[in-house]
Amino acid sequence: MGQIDKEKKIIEVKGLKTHFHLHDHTVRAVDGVDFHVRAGETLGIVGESGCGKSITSMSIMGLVQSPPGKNEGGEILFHGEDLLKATNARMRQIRGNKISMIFQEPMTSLNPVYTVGFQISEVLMLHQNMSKEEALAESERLLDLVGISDPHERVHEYPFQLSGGLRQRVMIAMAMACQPEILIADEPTTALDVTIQAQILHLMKDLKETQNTATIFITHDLAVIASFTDRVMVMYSGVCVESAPVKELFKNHMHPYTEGLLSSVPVLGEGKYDEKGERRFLKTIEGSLPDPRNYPKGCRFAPRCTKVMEKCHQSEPSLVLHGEDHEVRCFLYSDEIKMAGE
Amino acid sequence: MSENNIEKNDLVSKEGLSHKEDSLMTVYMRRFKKHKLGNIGFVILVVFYTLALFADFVSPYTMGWTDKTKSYHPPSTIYWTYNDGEKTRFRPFVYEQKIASIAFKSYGVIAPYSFRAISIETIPGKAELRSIANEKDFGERKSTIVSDVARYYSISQEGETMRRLAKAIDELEKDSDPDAKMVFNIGTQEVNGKVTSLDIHLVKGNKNFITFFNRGIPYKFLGLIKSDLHLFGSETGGFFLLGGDGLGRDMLSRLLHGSRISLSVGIVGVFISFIIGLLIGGISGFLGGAVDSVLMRITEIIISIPSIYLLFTLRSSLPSGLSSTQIYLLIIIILALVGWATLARIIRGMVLSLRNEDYVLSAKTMGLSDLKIIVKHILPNTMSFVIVQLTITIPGYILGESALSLLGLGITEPQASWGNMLSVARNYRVVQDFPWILIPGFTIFLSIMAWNFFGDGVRDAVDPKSKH
Repeated sequence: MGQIDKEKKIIEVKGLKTHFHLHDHTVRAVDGVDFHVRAGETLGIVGESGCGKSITSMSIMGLVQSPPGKNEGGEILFHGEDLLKATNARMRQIRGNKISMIFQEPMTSLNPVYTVGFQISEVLMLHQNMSKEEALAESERLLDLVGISDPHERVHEYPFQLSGGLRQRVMIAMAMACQPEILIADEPTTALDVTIQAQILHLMKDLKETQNTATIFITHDLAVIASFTDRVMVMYSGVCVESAPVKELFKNHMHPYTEGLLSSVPVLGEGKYDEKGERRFLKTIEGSLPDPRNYPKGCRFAPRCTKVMEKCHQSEPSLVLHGEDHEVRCFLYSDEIKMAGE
Repeated sequence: MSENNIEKNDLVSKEGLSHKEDSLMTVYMRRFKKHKLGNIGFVILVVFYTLALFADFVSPYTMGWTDKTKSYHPPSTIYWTYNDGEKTRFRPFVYEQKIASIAFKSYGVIAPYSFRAISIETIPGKAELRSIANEKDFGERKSTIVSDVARYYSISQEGETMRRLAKAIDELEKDSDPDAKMVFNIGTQEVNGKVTSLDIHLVKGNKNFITFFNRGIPYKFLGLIKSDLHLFGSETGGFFLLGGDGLGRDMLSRLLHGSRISLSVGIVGVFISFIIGLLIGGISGFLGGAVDSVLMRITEIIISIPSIYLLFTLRSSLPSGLSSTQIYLLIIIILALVGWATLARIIRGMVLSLRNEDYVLSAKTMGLSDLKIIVKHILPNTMSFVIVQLTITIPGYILGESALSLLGLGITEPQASWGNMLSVARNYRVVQDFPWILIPGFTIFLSIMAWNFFGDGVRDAVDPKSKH
C-alpha cells in the first residue's frame, strides 16, 4: 500500500441524519454526523448509551428499520458512491462483501441451527461465487486465521458447542471472509470477559494490519479506544462533539464532555485517598442525556456542562477545525454558530 | 526439544481445546427416552404405520375379498393345538362356521362330518366357489359337492373331470386324518388372455388350519411387486380373526388396508397445510405492516368458521363420483385448506419474535436477501416448535377424515377407511348384535392417543425449559 492510498478516504459521512418517526413524536437519533475513514485506519466512536453510535453504523449498512426509521439528510460516500441512494440489490452486494459488521452479542449473533462452517460458507458462496466445497475449505482457513484450534473439526460444530470468545472469533471470521474494505465493530468485546477481550482485540489488530482493513470501532470503553484506534470521534446526543487522533485526544482534549468522559474512568492503583488525605470520589458527569425527542435550544451539552456560558443556551456551536486534525464543537474555542440545515 | 516447545506454545495461543460434544439430536433423543408415555405412543405409531405399509402382506385376505355366505361372521376363536390321532401338536386352527339362523345372529359350527370344496382364488376380489355338504351319508355329501362344482364351473356332470373329482373325494374319504384336505385341478381357464389353472381345495371335516407364510390371494405389494405370500391365513378360508362385516368381508384385512388411508391422511394433510402455513405465516411475520394485517384477517376468518361445516361445504361443492384416489386427494386438500390457519398464526408469532434476533441482523449485514433470510435463517429456527405442533395437529386430520367418511362424504366403498368402516355403527341394532364392527373406532382412538403422547414427548424433549 502506497502513501497515496493511505490518505484516500474510503468512506465519508457528511451531515448524516437518521430520525425515527414514531406516531406522536420524532426521535432524532443521529442528527448531523460527519466523519471519514481512510484506508487501513481505525476510527473509534465513543459516547454514552443512546447517543447514536449504533444507529450511525446501522445507517452505513442501510439496515435502519424503516418505518419508523428514516434518513433525513446527508450522504454516506463509499468510494464516491452515496450509499443512502443505493438500491437494495446494490446494498446487498456491498454488505458482507465490502462492508461488514461484528456485533456485541456473540452468543446470539450466530444462527443456532447451522454449523459455523455453513454460516461462513454462506457468505463466501454469496459474494465470491465459491462452490460448497471451496467455501468450506476457505472457512477452515478463516477459522485457523482467527486462531481457533482444530478448524477442521470446528467447522462442523454448532454455535452452542462454542464458548463466547470462540463465537466472537467465528463472527470475525465471517466478517472478514470476503476481505471487506471496512469492518464495523459494534462493541465487539463488551460481552466478553477481560482476558478474552484482550485476545479478541489482539486478533482484530493483527487482522487489521495484515488485511489492511479500515475499521470503525464503536465502544464506550475508553481503554479499548486508547489501545486500539487511530482516531476517535466523541458523540453526544446524535452529533459529533470532538474528533481527533487518539493521542491528541487523550493528551489534549478540548470539549468539556470529552473531559468529563475521560475523568470518569477509575484509575487502577490510585488509592482511596488523595494527597491531602481526603476521600477520593469517582467523577461523574451530572445529569443525563437530553430527551432525543426534544433537544434543548443551543448546545445539547449545555445543561450538564461545567463551563456553560450564556450563549450556549442561545445557539448551537459549529464543528470547527483546531490544529491539524482536531475538530471541536464548543463555544470555548470558536464562536461559529451552527447553521440551520447543517 | 526446543522445537516441540515452540509448537506447544503455538497451540496454547489458540483458543478452544479439541473435544467432542453430544450433538443436539442425541440430547433430544436422550430426553425423549425418559418420557414414558411418549415412548409408548411412539411404539404404537411405529407398529401401526409398519402394519399399514405391509397391509397387503399382513392381512389374510384382500380388502375386497368377500364370502357372501358369511355376513357379520363373529371373530373366530383360535385353537392352538390339534390332535391328529397320534399325538397333540402345535397346529392352530379355527372351526368353520355358518349362519344357523337367518336373523344374522347366531353362527353355528359346521357338523364334523362335513365335506367342503373351495376354489383357490386367482383373481383378487372375485367371488369364489364355496360349497359345504354336511349330510350324514357319504354318498349324498359326494354328490352334493360334485353337482355344486359342476354348476359353478358350468361343466357337464357326466364328464371326465367330474369322474376324476368323484374319485378324488373317495380317496380323501379313506384318509385316516379326520381333517384331511387335498388340492384338485379341474382344468384351465382363460381370463383376460391369460391362462390360469383352476384349483379347488377339497376339505374333510370342519377345521380350517392356519398357516404362516401361506400362499393366498395374489396382490401387488405397494403396487409394484407381484406376490401371493401372506403372513398368516387359512388356505381353506372360514377364518375371521376380528370378525366380518355385513358383506362377509374380513374386518382385519379391511382394517389394515383402511389404515393406509386413515393414517396417511394425517401426515400428508399436515404436510400440505404446514407448507401453506409456513409460507403465509413466514411472509406475514417477516414483512409485517399491511401484508400482515390482510393475511392475518384472512386466517382469522378461516379459524372463526366452524370447521366441520366448512368441511361439508367444501366437500359438497366439489364433484361427486370420483375414483377413490381422487377422493383421497380431495379429502387431504380439503383438510389442509381448513387446517393451515392455526399453523400460520403460530408461525407468524414465532417469526415476529425471531426476526429481531441478532443472527437475523447479522445475516442482513452479510448481504442476504429477505427471502433467503426467511427461508434459511428464520424458518429453520421455528422447526422444533413446528414439529411439535405438527404431531399434535395430526390427530385432528385423522379425526377429520374419519368424520367425513363416517358421514359418507369421504372415502367410499369398496375402498376401506376406518371412518367408513364405522359408518355401519350408526345403526345401534348392528352395534348391539355385532359389536366387533366398532374395532375401527378403537384403532382411531389408539392412533390419536399415540400421536398425542408422542407429540407430548417430543415437546418435552425439545423444550429447552424442561427439567429433564
